Amino acid sequence: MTCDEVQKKLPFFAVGLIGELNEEEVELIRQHMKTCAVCQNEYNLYKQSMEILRQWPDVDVKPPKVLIPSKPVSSISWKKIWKTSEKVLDMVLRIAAVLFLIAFGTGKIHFSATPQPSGDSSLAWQKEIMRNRQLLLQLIENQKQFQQGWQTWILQQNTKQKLMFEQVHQLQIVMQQQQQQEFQTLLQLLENIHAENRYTTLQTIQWVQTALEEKQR
Amino acid sequence: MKEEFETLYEQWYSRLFQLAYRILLNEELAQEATQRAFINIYRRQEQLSQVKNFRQWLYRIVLNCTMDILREQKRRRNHHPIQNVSEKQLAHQPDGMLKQMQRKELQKLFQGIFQQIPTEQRMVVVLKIYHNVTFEEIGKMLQISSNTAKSRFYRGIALIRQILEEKNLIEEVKTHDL
Repeated sequence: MTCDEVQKKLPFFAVGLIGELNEEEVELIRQHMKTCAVCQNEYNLYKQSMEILRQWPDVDVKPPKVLIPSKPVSSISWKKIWKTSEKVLDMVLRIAAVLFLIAFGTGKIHFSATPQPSGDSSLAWQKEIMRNRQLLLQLIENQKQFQQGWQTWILQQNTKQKLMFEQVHQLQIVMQQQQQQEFQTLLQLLENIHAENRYTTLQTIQWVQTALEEKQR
Repeated sequence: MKEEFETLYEQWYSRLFQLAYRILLNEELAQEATQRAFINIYRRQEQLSQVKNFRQWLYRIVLNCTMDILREQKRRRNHHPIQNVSEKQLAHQPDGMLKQMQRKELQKLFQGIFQQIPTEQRMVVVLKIYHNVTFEEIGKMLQISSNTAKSRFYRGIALIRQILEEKNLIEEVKTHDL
């Protein structure tokens, strides 16, 4: 064995990893070192290094107390969340539809917040109501379609959330106002929400409801 | 399941922490890595029964967490350089004196030494010397071949030897006890 060959094996040999070398190699290294002062020196330097490395003490550490949740995080059931959201959506749509149809069907659409327009503007107003009514009915009709879209959406929440959250907040206020028969704001809001966004907005209602329920738990 | 996890936590926390610490060379970061590792383990509790080599599985999780932290540190560029023991303190420090050094000083000394070893070599050296893991297992943990693990160990140890020599912590001797 040459010095180069021996010195390549020395770190393993010197740190007590003889198991990493075969018996023949170990014997050759031993024989070589008996006659080679350079390799003896190398061996000693590695051996000393190892002795020093073994003096690195462990850090005194005690495991900090952990709060283990009653259920693993991975067990959050999207199915469960969806079921709850589905109920909320159903309720919201039913209330909206019933209130709207009653108000519109009986012709008793009267909004305390804004005086009813007259003349030409009254016609425009009627058109607006019709347009809004269609939108609302369409929403109800498309509920199934929406539900499918929601399931995909919940897995792909996007950056629009913040904006949608604001819309939902407004909607929530409107929902409360509905109970007081103030329907105008709802209609205005529905008008404001672009047709393209109508599903997303309702999806957000569910998301918020779910988030709130989760938070309450 | 909860009790099983608590037992595992109690039994392995310190060992996994020491591993993370010797790689990250910082107690806070090591604690962070160990916590992350246990969150990971907790989430994968269902896999526990299928794990063949338990230590290898645990170590691999911790090593991944330490690597994540090292990457984050690099990205943030706020890695606090470890304060080395001053050269004055180290100069002509005979080996016997090491034993008398305070624990804290020893920690600083080793932090200073290992700070100079590239991470990939440091990982192998730490696993081999302080955790007695075979090169084959190291290979599996780090997803490298056992030969690569050996070569990293060789380079790591050679570098440590060189640093110790420069610091006068080891010296040439004329006799040996083969």
